[in-house]
Amino acid sequence: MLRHLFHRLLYAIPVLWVMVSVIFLLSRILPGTFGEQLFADEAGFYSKGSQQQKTIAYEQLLQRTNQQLPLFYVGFASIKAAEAHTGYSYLLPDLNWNGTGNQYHLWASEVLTGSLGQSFASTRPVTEVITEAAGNTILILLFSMFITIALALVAGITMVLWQGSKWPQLLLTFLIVLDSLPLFVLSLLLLLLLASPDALQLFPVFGLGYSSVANQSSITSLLNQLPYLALPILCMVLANLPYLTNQFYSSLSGTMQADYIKTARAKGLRSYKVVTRHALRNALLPVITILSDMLPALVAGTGIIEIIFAIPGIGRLLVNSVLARDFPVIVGIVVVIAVFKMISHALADVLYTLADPRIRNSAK
Amino acid sequence: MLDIAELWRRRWSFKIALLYLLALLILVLVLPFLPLLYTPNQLDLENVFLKPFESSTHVFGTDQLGRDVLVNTLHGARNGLLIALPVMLISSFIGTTIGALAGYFGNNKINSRRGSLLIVVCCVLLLLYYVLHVPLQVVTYDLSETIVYISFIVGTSICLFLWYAIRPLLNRLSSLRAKAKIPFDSITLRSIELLTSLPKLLILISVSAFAPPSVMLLSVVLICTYWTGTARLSRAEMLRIKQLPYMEAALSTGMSHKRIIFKEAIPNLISPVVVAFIFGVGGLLAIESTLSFLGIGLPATFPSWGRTIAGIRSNLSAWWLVAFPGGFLALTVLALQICSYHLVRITQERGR
Repeated sequence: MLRHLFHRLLYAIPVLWVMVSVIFLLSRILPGTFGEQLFADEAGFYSKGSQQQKTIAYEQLLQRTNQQLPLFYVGFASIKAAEAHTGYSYLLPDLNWNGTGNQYHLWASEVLTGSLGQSFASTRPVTEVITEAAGNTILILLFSMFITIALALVAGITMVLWQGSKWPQLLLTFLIVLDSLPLFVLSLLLLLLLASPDALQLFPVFGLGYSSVANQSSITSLLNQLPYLALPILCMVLANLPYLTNQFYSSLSGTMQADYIKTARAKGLRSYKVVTRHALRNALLPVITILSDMLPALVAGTGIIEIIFAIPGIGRLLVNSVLARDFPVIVGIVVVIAVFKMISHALADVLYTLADPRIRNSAK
Repeated sequence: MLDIAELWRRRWSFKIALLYLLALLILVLVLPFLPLLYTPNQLDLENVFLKPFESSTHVFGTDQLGRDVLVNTLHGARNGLLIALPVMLISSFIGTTIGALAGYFGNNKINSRRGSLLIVVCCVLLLLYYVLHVPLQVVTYDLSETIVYISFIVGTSICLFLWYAIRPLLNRLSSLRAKAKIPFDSITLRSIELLTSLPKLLILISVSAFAPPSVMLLSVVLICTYWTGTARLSRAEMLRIKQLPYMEAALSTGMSHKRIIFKEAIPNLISPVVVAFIFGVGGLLAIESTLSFLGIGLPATFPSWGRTIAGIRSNLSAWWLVAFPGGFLALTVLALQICSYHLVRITQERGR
């Protein structure tokens, strides 16, 4: 069991490392460095200074953020310098070895020691910025996940129990229509319907309220925040409900065909008992995998919600740092989510083996 | 085709969805020639946040800069589909080809001489320099464009020279002549695993950060992340088809592999691919407008559903900015889903 888990992680780590490295390298290769827009902006802070001051400030910025160093261990000389000699010298690839003083090496050695570098924009450590934002995201994720799973279970079971009547069809139609609304349209519509003075104003609109007293206990601050979190959580639930219900339903109705269900029916059990006692446990097995697949993707989904409802969380941090070209934060978030995904996959494996004795026996 | 005609007659929801999609397609094609009152980027600063159905010229109202919502919605549909359709077509094509080849050849059916492999690796490295590095340098340092063309020509001619002149010489050497197996299936699976190791939206958001927003970059990133789904699907289908008796019959009549794959196998795995295609177009429309809504998808000069909806952030009571483009988007996705749902049903029924 543990050996199996160890093997899984051992295989997953190189793949993750390659992907994260690619994202890091892409962030530095593609045109547009951090700090460029400081000078492009006409009304910006530096617009009053002379050209010389601008270049000095830019060079200091590059120095501080290590962006003046070569990118990788090996690299081509830039054409600008080469072209000064003759017209065609760029046609000869000019490889040079940069040694360990390159951006990738510095970044990688930092990641291996557990630090994700410094944010370009605020010069705070990236790990600090991310942990600060992660709390709200995790809160929304956990609440909405639990509610979604519970609702999907109830809906799936009722649809199986009432097969043949009109209700399952109606529920399915509703879910299909709900599924065709993209997350951001859905949440904006709910925002307009439930939190605007023109229609119903049931919920507060933006933010998380005032963080008034400094030394509140965590429970009271959570209670203060709950009204603000209710609408975002509702949006997440509605957005994920169709997919999850469909998965529950198809896996439940699949297990209902099995022979042991016929036996249970033949014993004279009521159909409610048949479903909850006999079918449910087996039907839940594939859902574990689906959930572990969904979780990391949900983080990206919460980003949109966080933007719309102005909640400081990981997704909002991601989009804001995208707009500010704050590369260390973006790459840091990618690393964190990738690790999160790896862990949730491993956890799903463990849960699967715990829930299904057949796999436990074959793994030995 | 017979099945579709049958569906057309029996299912009214399929009929409506298909008619709607056809109307949308025609709209997209004729939109530039329609005599509309406004162009999508035309500002009308005297009529900002005009409510719908009140003015005779702005039927759906206007947004925060006085741009007409109706015209923007129509052009948003056009731009959305003009990105979603080609991207999905290309990624389905790449995915089907790679997936079918991986499923058919497996790990040990493709052989190649070591010398040829060596040349291929050299060519790829050289092309990376001439076709990727040089143009990127030209873009970053604003050099003249002729450099790009010259480097393209030099790069391809060096590669052609290597392939046609050096390769036969290398293959004469006994050590390089031996055949090596190419584990195509494993390579495909590994690269799919690599691309799916991160959530799609995360890759999209972070990569679109690294360069200024452009249609080209957005499409390339979308294609790179979307081919994996189709590839997985068609690989699985190919593994199933390979076991069927008619494939054995085709092999025993001495058909070439190429002919078997393209004439016998692909027509049989195309129907799930079509369903995935239709489903994928809906997903792409949603993702494109989400990215535009966040301000990191299409450039801000392109009218899109997401851009119009984003206007709600400056005035929360302007419901028409969400209702019209959002409703249009939802309707389109719904129609696509209904179509793919019915198509899945008939392929399942035919399977029985």
